[in-house]
Amino acid sequence: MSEQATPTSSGQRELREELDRSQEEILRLRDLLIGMESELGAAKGRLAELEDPRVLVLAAKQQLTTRALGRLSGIVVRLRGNS
Amino acid sequence: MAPRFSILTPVYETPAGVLRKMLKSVARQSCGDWELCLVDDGSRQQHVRAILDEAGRRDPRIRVSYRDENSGIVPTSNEALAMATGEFVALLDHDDMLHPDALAHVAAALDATPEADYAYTDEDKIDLRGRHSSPFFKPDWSPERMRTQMYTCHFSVLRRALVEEVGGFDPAFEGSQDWDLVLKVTERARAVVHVPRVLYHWRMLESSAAASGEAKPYAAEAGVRAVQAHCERIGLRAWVQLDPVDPGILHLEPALSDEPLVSIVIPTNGQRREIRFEQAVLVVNCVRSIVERSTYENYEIVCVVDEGTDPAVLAQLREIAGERLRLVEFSGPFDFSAKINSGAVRSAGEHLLLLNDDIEVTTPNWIERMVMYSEQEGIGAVGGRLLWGDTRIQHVGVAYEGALPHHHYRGFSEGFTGYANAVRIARDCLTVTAACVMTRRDVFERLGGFTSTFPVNFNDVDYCLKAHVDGLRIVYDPDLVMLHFESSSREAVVERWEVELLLARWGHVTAVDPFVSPHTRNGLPRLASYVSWARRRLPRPRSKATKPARAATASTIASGE
Repeated sequence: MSEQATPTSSGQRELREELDRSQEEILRLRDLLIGMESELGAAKGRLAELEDPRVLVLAAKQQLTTRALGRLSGIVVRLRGNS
Repeated sequence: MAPRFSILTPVYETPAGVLRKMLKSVARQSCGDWELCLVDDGSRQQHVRAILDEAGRRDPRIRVSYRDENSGIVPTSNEALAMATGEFVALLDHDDMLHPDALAHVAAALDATPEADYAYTDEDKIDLRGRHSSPFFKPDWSPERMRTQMYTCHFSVLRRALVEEVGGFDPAFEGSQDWDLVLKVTERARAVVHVPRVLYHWRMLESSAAASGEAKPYAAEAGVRAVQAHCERIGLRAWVQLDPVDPGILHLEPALSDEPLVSIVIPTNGQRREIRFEQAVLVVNCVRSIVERSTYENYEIVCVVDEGTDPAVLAQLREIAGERLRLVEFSGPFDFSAKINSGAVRSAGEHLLLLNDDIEVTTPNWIERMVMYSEQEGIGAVGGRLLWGDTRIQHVGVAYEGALPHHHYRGFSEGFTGYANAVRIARDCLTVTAACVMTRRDVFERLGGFTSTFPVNFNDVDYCLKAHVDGLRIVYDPDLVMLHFESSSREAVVERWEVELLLARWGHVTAVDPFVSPHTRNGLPRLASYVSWARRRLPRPRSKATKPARAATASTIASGE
């Protein structure tokens, strides 16, 4: 199978093919860079969120509330059982 | 000290009841930093002057001016603009109403984005009896949508300095002077903000455009001229046409004077599938439809074919496409992205048109349409409306909900117009499918082409999101209709790692899709938002025992009794 724009010599054809492969590699590397930058940005954002003291306080509050509610429901169940 | 907001309201023969309600809705604003600039356009009915005089006496923030003769909405609006002293001008029609917190919410949004030169809100309609209907939950700023639908409409708040810079309301576009003004202002605006709350109530009178788009045919015609002038100002090579059915919609038709080379890249393995009850080779059907139906002349077809593809198929392609065809062999495991990239680097066009082999061209000027958008500097990719073989909707732009991509209205009938005509108007979106997409070569190269990180799914999503974060817009064109013989009964298999990687890579971008209202889901108003809106809007039932229900009539309300 050959391309329609036929190069005049095999050397030129090889050169053309090498150029195309290099172009593909440039695309691949550019894409890799953009993708990595994006993933890095997202990770940095997540890290900043986690380091934010307000987020830590909220998480602790959530944890304590969950525990307290769990204990409370346990007490209610026991009281109901006793009655 | 000048107020922050100057509300401009031209008045003409307004029924007493609705005029009082309009004035009351302004007076009751929770944000008091306003002035109301009322200009009566030579009303003959006595009650108009009486009500306006009384309002002016009661509140020094209300300023009234009278014109001796009726001169039309534009000179009257310009007179109101000349009276304004505020930093921003807000447009309020004489028979409409503002939500009590309208200015407060707009002020908060402007505080959050100090460089904003234009702000708009969601709106609904209200009848003479005060019943609300048709809430319009809008997307964030979409320049493309603005060219085919005056969707920002009410409540519009514009920086006064910029309004004056563009010359105020233009008499050449009487009836659509607000559309023209918003287009001119947004051409120069540093930022546009959207407040996703229903803060404006558009009164439906028989003569009002709120009741029917056909109420003011001259306005629709002026809208066409306003958008045409706008296209000429920004260098968009298009003719603007009025929709034959809905006067609220415009269509852009390409007006190209030259034809840059377009490379149509089609990855294929010569697969067969049933098309119209007959087995056919998809790529042959696709290329034949391109060659036979396209009106564009300057294009090449680059087929990226898998190693071992049936030579008979290739021979057929050569026969159909002749000199236009370029075949690129691809070996290795399936990788859609690598195939696209391979075809792209071996093509010569200024624009790349990436096409699946199961597409069939149905719109003759499809390439012209795509070039019209693609050649715009700010546009990264353009796609169209794809229908399955049975003409049901497959793709009208991709929307993100829960940070993941969704096809709105998938499987709906061809004639379905979508919420607020979303299917029938051009608009910005975050992603269009790579089944049929055009992108400029310079953009493709800058973005590193398609990513092999996603060899099967989401590579188009990834490409469009790369373009989005690069500051480019992605456009959906409703008038580019193609058939897509993708199996409608089979969902693409998406691996878990693909979803996880997509979220890791783009979740921070797609968490909030600016082109999807927070009040909609699957392209339609969310039930919770609708109920919440309705609960606030519908009149509360009165107890018969304490207060006998009185059927309000249009005449009693209109007369203000």
